[in-house]
Amino acid sequence: MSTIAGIDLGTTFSALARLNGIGRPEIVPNCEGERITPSAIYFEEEEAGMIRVGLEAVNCRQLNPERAVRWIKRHMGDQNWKKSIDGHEWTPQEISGLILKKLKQDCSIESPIQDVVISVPAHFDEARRKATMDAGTLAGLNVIGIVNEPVAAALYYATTQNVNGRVLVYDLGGGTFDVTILDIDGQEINIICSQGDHALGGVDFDKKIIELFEKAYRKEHNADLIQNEQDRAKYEDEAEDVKKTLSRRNSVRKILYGAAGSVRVEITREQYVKAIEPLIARTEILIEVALEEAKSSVSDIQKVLLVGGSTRMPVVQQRLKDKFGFEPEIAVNVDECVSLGAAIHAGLTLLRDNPKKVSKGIAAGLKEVRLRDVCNHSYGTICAPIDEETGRHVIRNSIILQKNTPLPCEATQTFYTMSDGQTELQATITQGEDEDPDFVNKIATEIFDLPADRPANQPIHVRYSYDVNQRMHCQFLDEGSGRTLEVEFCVGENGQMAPAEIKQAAEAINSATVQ
Amino acid sequence: MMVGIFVTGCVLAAGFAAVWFSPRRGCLLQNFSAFDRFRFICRVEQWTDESLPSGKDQVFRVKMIGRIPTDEDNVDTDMQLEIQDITEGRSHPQQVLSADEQYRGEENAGFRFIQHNGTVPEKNSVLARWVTVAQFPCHILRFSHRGRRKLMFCVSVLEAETGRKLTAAQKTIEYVYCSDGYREVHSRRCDILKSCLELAVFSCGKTPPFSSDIQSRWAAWLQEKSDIFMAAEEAMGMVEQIAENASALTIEASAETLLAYGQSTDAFLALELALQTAGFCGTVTLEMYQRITRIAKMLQIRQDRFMAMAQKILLSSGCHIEEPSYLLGISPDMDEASFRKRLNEEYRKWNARVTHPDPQIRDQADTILTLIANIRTQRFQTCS
Repeated sequence: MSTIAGIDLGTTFSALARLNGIGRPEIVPNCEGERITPSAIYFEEEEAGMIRVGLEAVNCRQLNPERAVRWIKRHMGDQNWKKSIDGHEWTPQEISGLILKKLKQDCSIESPIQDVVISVPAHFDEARRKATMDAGTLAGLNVIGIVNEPVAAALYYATTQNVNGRVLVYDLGGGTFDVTILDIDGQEINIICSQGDHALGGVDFDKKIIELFEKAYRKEHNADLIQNEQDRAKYEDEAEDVKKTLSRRNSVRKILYGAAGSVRVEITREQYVKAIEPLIARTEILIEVALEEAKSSVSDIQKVLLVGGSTRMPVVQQRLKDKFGFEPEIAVNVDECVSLGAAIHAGLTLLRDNPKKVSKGIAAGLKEVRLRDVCNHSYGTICAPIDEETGRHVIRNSIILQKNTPLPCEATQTFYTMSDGQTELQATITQGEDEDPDFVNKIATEIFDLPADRPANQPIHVRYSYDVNQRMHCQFLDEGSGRTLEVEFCVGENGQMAPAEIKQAAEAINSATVQ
Repeated sequence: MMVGIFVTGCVLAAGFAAVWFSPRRGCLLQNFSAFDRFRFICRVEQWTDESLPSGKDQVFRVKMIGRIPTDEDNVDTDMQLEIQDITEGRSHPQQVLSADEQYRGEENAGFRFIQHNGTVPEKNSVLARWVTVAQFPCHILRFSHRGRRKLMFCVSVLEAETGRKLTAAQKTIEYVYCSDGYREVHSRRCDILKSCLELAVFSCGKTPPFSSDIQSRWAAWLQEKSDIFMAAEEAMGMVEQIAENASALTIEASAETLLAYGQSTDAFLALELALQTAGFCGTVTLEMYQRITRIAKMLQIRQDRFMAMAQKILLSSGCHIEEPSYLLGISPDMDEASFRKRLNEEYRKWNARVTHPDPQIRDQADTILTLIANIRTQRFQTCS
């Protein structure tokens, strides 16, 4: 039996955990003996095909930032983003695939890693989830599922710590922020809702410190501190150090070396807190939005669980204490709990879908765990109802499956054909909350052929269902003729890339030496 | 002299009789069709098809009969039907338009109908019976004005290969058109578009002269929104006229015209133009925004719809917005609970758009999220 594992593919760090013989998750250290691996890549100049991943890549980055990639998670799902190295255009999936290959390689020494669940931020949309699945496939992993990071963290907390009642998971990582509200009763977890911000994390806090550096330098020398990519890479690393130091001390002194000379600066925690205030405000807004969605008030929350490295900042913990009136819970290493929870999720997924692959010890360890997840996004279709004010048809996105509906779920709506003799309709499946179709993601579009010579207003029933495997099934049924159009897809199942593209990219990754 | 006249008369009469009673009369008189008893003629019948719903049951049926002269045997032919409105005289024909694409030329909406007519077997073949060549519902026709119209139907037989006209006939009939004519509709449409433009000028808040760029954009908008063809000069003329009288414009008069004569969608059209105009200006001042808000109120547009339009149009225009908090529905006099609620609603909305596939929408969403965070920080820092 292969090892069942969970991977936290983070913006700044990644980690892999596996289930031990009794179904308890444990971190598998990388070949350098570290429990987490920086999500950084460096393409060696001297040795063709040699790719450094992790700490080595971070160290090499300042030498030639053009050949380095960090924070690739921010570009996941963006089909226009490419990194050109020696004539090869690396996609975000491929670069993430290299990180996963390194994790797989390092952690397979004891026993081979094959079936994995990879975690993603709760707010990741269809395209980003699919891209994450593709990255796993490219690395030669069998990705059996995707789990939301806060859900994974909650799974770990619920199964290993004594947590009960309505809980808020505050997940402030290296590049993304998620807030999830859930109910925990023993080992039974019911997700209520999630909210997230794709561009809010440690990297953004670092940027604020760089702004403070630049401001101080300009004041002294009336010149720019950062003049090229090498300078930027250097000060990004220094800013990260300053941020971490400010979590322990009240001030940090630095000497900044720029083209116009050097300057000695002191950054106090107060200055830093003031600079990051708008970012903290964003997390506070999302907490309020999530509470509104959960129809809960601050007093309903019995515990706040911290996840992600950026929650180590004292200002974050203080703000949460001020808001909820009690200390947030930091029971485990905040950098590891997502991967640990993802491993549990992998065990649960295999138990449900392929129990033969799960050892008796693991099955016994997980038998009490129950997880009820929700739809992370709203799903709808494009239609043309009559606008009540203008009396004319307007193009609208009509939501069929509401966000935060507990899984499994199903919903049906009826629409009508618009014109006499209409022989086809465009069946579009959307993801998003907006009524305005310009603002939603159109995740699938198919043409539904209808019989000819019929008057307008023929009923078309549209039924969406979503199961616990995050498999979505959409059916468009023409009542008159009984004809149906079925669209079925699983989150990430087919990926963004075509099979041929995957094969080609997998070959490129296989041929690369990752260290 | 009298004898001369008598003799000439007799010769002419004898000649005419010889031609008239000749077996080759058709050939001899083919250039004098008035004398041809088989001359090509057409007729138009108006009748009611009771199988069709009321209002759409009137049908025109066009028939033809007579000689179709050709240069050779077995000529393939087409039949063409055109209609002209000659109510104001043959020298001032008005175009008749078709609402049905089947009865339109390729280049405009004018009525035109061509169909294959078959092969004429011999030179000077004669169609001996009345043949229906076209039949179409009356309601597809659009005339310049309402009321009694004098219509001239022109039926032509064309050589299919070359399009050369072989013969033609006309028939004039009277028809009562019970709907508004397109010129009347156009004139009313122009009044409505003019009101939209007046409101846009008002939103701009500037006194003339307006930049040529803005004026050209307004003229292009007029051409685009006019239901029938509007020449560039006509559109620019209208813009210049409004710009000249800009100082005398009142928001109330223009809004009233729109509400009284416009359709329900025209109010949104006017608001859209006002917002686009504000976007063209480069910077949307608070005063401009308040003027547009007033226009929306006058046009009875709901606040939430106004906000959605304002955000969509102003943010995509790339203009600088002097006081963006208004664009989020925030005002300084809001109490804390409403302030939080409003900002949270906007945050929720824009946060869902931040992963949109279109980079422009993503950037807008990012900008707005940062803005919301800054507004909130400012407010609570000020309070503390």
